[in-house]
Amino acid sequence: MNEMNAMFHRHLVAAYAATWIIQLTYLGYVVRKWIEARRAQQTTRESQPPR
Amino acid sequence: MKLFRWLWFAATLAVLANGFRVAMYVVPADVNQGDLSRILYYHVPTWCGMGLFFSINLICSIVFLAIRNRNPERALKTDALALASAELGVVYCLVGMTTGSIWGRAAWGIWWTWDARLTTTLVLWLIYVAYLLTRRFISGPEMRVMAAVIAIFGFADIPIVYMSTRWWRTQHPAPVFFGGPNTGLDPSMMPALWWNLAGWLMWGIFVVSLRYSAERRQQMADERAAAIALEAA
Repeated sequence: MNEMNAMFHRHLVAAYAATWIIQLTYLGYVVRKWIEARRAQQTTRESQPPR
Repeated sequence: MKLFRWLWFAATLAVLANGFRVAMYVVPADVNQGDLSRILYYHVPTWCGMGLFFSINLICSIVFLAIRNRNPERALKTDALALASAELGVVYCLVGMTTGSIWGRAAWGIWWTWDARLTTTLVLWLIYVAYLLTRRFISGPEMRVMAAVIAIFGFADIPIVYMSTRWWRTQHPAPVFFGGPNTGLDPSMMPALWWNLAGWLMWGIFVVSLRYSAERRQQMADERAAAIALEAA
C-alpha cells in the first residue's frame, strides 16, 4: 500500500511539474515574440523618412 | 493598460498559489486513488481553458471572414486574437493530454490507448497544429482566409471530443460533470477545482493578451515597412 501511495505521489508531482514546464515554456516564447515585435516596430519607426 | 496587465498577472499568480494550497493541503485525498486524484485540479481546468480559447478562435475566424473586405483594420485585430487564442488552445490541449497520460499510467497501467476520447483529442490537437503551421509557412494575402476556414472546420471536432465518452465505450471515465444522476464531484473537492479553474483561466487571459499585443505590434511594423517600401519605389 505504501509503495502504491509513493507511486501515486510521484505521478502527481510529475503531472504538476509537466503543466508548469509547458506553460512557462510557452510564456517564454510569447515574451520573446513580444520583444521582437517591439524591436521591429522601433526599427520601422526610425527608418521612416521625415514628412 | 500596462499596469492593469501586471496587476492581473500578480492576481493570477496569487489565485494559482491558493489553488495549489487548497488542492494539496485542504481537500482530502480520494479513498481509492489517494494523492493521484489531485491531478484532476490541473487536468479539468486545462480542458475548460482549451474549450474557451478554441471557441474564441472560432468566433474570431468567423468575424474575420465576415468583415475582412469591409473593415480590414478590425479584421486584422480579430485575426491577431484568433492566432493568440489558437496557440494557447494548443498549449492547453498538450497539457491536458500530458497530465491525462501521467494519470492514466498510474491508474490504468498504460500511458496511452487508442480509445475514442483520446484519439479524437489527439486529432483535435493535430488540426490546430496544422492551423498554426499553415499560418507560419504560407505567405500572401490568402493565408489568413485559409487559416480561418481551417479553424471553423477544426472546431467541429470539439463536440465529438466532448460527446465521445457518451457515444462510445472508452477507457477514459464516463463524464464526471453533467453526466446525469450519481455523477459529479464530492462537494469537498469543489473549492480546489474552482480556485484552479479561475487561476488557469486568468493565466490564459494574461498570456493571450500578451500574445495578441505582440502580434498587433508585428502587424503594424509589417504595414509600416510595406508603406516605406512603396514610398521608396
